[in-house]
Amino acid sequence: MKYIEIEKLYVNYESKNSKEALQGLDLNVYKGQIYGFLGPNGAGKTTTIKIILGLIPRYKGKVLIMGASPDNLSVKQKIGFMPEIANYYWYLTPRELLYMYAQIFGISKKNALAKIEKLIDLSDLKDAADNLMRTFSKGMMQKVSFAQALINDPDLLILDEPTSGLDPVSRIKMRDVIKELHREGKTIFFSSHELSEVEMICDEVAIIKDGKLLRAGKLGDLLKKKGGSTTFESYFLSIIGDNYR
Amino acid sequence: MRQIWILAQNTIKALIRKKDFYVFFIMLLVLLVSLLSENFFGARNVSRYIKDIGFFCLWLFSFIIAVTFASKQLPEEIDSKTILPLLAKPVTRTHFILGRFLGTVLASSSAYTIFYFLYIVVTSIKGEGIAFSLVIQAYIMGICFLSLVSAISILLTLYLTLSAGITVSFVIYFAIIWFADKLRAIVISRTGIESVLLNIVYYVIPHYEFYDLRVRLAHSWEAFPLWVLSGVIVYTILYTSVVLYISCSKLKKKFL
Ligand SMILES: Nc1ncnc2c1ncn2[C@@H]1O[C@H](COP(=O)(O)OP(=O)(O)OP(=O)(O)O)[C@@H](O)[C@H]1O
Ligand SMILES: [Mg+2]
Repeated sequence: MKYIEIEKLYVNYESKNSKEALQGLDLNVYKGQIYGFLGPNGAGKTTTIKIILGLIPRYKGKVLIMGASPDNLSVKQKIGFMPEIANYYWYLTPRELLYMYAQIFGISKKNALAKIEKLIDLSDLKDAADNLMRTFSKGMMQKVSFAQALINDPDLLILDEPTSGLDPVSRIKMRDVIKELHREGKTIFFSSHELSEVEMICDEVAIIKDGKLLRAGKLGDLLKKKGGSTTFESYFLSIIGDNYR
Repeated sequence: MRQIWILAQNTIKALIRKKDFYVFFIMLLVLLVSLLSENFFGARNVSRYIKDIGFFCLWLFSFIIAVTFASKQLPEEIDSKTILPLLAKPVTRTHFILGRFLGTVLASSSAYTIFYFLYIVVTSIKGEGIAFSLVIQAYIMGICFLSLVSAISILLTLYLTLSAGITVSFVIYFAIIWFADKLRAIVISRTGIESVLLNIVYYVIPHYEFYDLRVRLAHSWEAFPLWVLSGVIVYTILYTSVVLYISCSKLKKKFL
């Protein structure tokens, strides 16, 4: 079953002198996949993710999320999202934030409290769980952001550069958690600039640039077509056409 | 509905934790207490002046809290991007506006209620007090006023920047309390197309002057008949609904 189905998608932010952010993008993500979404800065990754979440009011093309329109509330009930910029209400504590979001999903108090304990544990927030987020470092906010994406036990998890700003240990831990979530049967779609990370955990990848899909498929298959001897890094550079080296 | 209520609670929590209104609260307290101990203009008029100045300040402070707080809701949330993870959950943009609006009204009304309570206590200690029916009417009018002000402030920040929105909210308020009556007189004096246009202007502007019962309180006049109060409540509900509807349609078209 297709969880994300995007066909000939055009998005224009309508700010003066800007080109279209997405120019006929195609993308298919199936249930159970762990999908890496790659592309240089400004390629349109975050824009695509906003489309998937129904955050963009006008676009041209076909977008179906779990077979329904992206602004459908029962679809949103099954999605977890970790944004690119982790910023939450500084006047709340992580525990309060998670509780507020649990209420939004209509989770009962008992289940919410149990889930919150689990997530605080999972994302290493034990010591900070009752402090106002005003004082949090970027990495701590990132952990809160990861925890809140899991509050509703989502079927589809959308992560926009999840490990950016994390220290090496936290990064490895988060990677392990992502792999574990995938084993539990969740579909995971995430954008990243860390090629090695993508190589380690993804079944499939898509590479986009200037709002268009350049390549998509199993990583092994993509590399094989190139002769199989190249590294993912040099493959990536050759695809996005960057003559840096 | 659930979403709206959760957002409203969050809005109130924000006001309490951000400590915005404590400043006003302390200022009003100091002012009322100093009014209590002073004896301006000879003994005879003291009660009237306290009623007048005290009410003016409580009205102004409640208004400032409602405007600044309502105006901050959307720009802060959009600029800091906290709106994105929120709207990615089962929350529509309409839920968002209504929740923030409800929270603002509840928060500014609570501040107003405390101010008003202090005011009533002080005026009844110092002088003859105010008729109970008028106390209730002025209170209800205040809540209606704060609802309308909050809705309009939210709408303005969807078209203007935060500081411009706040400034325009203030300008509209002072323009209306000073000129609405004069406009009425001008409307009556004109004929033809001019009269039609002025009439439209007169009926479109938010009539903030309806709500302020300061003079009535100060002079201990009688309360309004019930139909006037009901009329003002209906007017407030209709006007606020239209303003919120426009805000929702505007936000729905916005790229975040
Ligand atoms: N709110 C916005 N208003 C106007 N233009 C925007 C907006 N957001 C993004 N853009 C433009 O859309 C294009 C794609 O941006 P997007 O944020 O999707 O890139 P990205 O692939 O996520 O980049 P990065 O790797 O830097 O996060 C860029 O040209 C950007 O300038
Ligand atoms: Mg991005």
